[in-house]
Amino acid sequence: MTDIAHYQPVGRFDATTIKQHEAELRRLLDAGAHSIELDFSGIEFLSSAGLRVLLVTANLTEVKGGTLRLKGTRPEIREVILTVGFDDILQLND
Amino acid sequence: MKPANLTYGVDDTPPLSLLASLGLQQVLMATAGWIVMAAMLATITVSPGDTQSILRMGMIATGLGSMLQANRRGPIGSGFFCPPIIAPAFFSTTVLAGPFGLPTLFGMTAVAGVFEVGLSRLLPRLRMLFPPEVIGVVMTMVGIAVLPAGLPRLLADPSTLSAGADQSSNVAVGLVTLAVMIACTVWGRGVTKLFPMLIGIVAGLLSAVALGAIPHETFQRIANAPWLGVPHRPISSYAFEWSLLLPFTIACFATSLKNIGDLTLCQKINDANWTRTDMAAVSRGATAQGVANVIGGLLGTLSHNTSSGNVGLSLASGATSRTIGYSFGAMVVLCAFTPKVAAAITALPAPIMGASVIYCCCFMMLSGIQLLTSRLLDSRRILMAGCALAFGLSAGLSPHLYVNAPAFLKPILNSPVSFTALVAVLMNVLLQLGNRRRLRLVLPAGSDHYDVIRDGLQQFGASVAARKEIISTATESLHHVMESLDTGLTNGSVTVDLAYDEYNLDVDVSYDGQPIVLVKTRPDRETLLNDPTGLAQLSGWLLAQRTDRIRVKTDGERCHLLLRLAN
Repeated sequence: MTDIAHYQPVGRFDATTIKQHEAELRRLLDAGAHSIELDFSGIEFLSSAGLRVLLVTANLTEVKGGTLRLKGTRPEIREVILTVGFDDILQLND
Repeated sequence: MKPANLTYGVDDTPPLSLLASLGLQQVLMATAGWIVMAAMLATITVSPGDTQSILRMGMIATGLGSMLQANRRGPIGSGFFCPPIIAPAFFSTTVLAGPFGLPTLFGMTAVAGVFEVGLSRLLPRLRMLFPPEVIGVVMTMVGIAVLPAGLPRLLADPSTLSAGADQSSNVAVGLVTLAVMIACTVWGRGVTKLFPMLIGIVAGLLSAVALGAIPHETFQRIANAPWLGVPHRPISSYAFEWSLLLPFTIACFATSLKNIGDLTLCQKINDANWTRTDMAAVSRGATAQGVANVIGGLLGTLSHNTSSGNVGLSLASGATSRTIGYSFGAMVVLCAFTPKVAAAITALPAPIMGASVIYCCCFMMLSGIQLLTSRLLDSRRILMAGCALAFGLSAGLSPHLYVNAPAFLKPILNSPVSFTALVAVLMNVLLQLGNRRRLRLVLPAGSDHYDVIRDGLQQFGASVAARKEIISTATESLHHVMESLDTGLTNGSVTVDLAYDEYNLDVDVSYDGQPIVLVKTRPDRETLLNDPTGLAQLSGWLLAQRTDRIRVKTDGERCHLLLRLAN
């Protein structure tokens, strides 16, 4: 396992799907990843429950000295992240 | 907010040195109108001397009209750069009035101007007739309708060239002109970006001289024209003819529709956040145009309307400052007093004029298409747009179809823009019969409503031609609401009522249970991680940020969450 793990969720990042995504992110961190890069290009909706999982994951990577990065976010998803000010706790890459 | 592509927006003032050049560039574009005016006068018996006088009075009317339009104080003027140019919609009325003599032609022109002023004051009340999708169709046609004036000249159709002119060298001149304009726009920086048309025209003239595409007589005509000369009114009295009142009135309607399209285009290109037409500003602009036509009639020239070509050029060059309206106006008036300059301007080779027109058309057409496609369109509106464009195009492509139409309808049937506008307005009104502007979704408890909400709002948005952004935000907000309610705020079904008008989309989410928590500040990291209500707080706060108004209301056990999104 490398320091940076990659994960590409697809569809919704909300209460209905979050358990599956949260489990996968936990697995990556438990396997030794310090940082996680999420390819968000396939995500069409990000809810407050999804935001909370991002916050928890960002906290866990921070404890390990790593970062949580999001790439390929759609404009509407990026707007939500910026609105709640989560660009402070995770890296938004184009 | 000023769009990023504008160097000088409507409220900016370019330096004096640039104002003159920007004004000159616009004057060169306006020459197309004077050529059309000369062609219209050629259809009735007017002496060459009177034709010159009418043209020069037309320049004065154009100059004064541009200044009136740029004005922002009082009830006259939209405050935009949107100068007037000869109105082709009055072509048939000119032909009809010709036999009655010039006093009648100009008297009726002034009367039409008065009528236009009266009509302009009614425009704010007619706002419902001109929703963005109708304006988008008209704006698209504004660009398309100018193509027949540009393409034959650009491609050196023999009918646009003087006898014996070499077609291939003229085609080369046109293409060089257009290529330089495009290059300046795409790769230009600073001055070259501001003056794409002027630089293109200079390049075209140089290539025309090099290829021998300018006849010797042209130079002779310019040389013979005097430097100074006071224009004279071609008449000393005015007359009124009752039988001409109806055709002139209909032509006024036609030009008013075109004015609405052009003035809306001005608003759109000057505001990055533009969403709908400001009819009050359009009304003031149409009043300015009417007043300019009264002045024009009294001076002794033909009716004018707003110039799509000049507005398109202002967009293309990124300089839409209303101050240019004043510099342009002053220069055009000056041209009327300097016959040599006027002769030089009107002697521009046809391919160069054609390239200029095509260049501006590109921006005008796409601006209309962008506005049209910014809305969700259902079959009603697709048919409205398609039929309006089809009938409008028929006026330009197959004018023979309407040769037997009543004379009083000719001003509309002869003008692709007016015809398009009329069909679009009528079909939009007719096809709305039976169209509901409300939607109710009942979402049962315990099931995933994501697809139901998304599909329901998409269909509703298309049926009312809402902006894509507003439907997207409403959909997303409802997903947030449903997620919040699923945290235990309700155990029953949820009813969502949507009501749409041209200003707002109102959403009423009602259910039995506890109200959603709305907080004024964003929950901090600790609250989100450790407080059980953190998620609900974030959801409520996010909703408040994404909507224009949010309110919670309780009616006994029934809770209402009221959301408003500005259209």
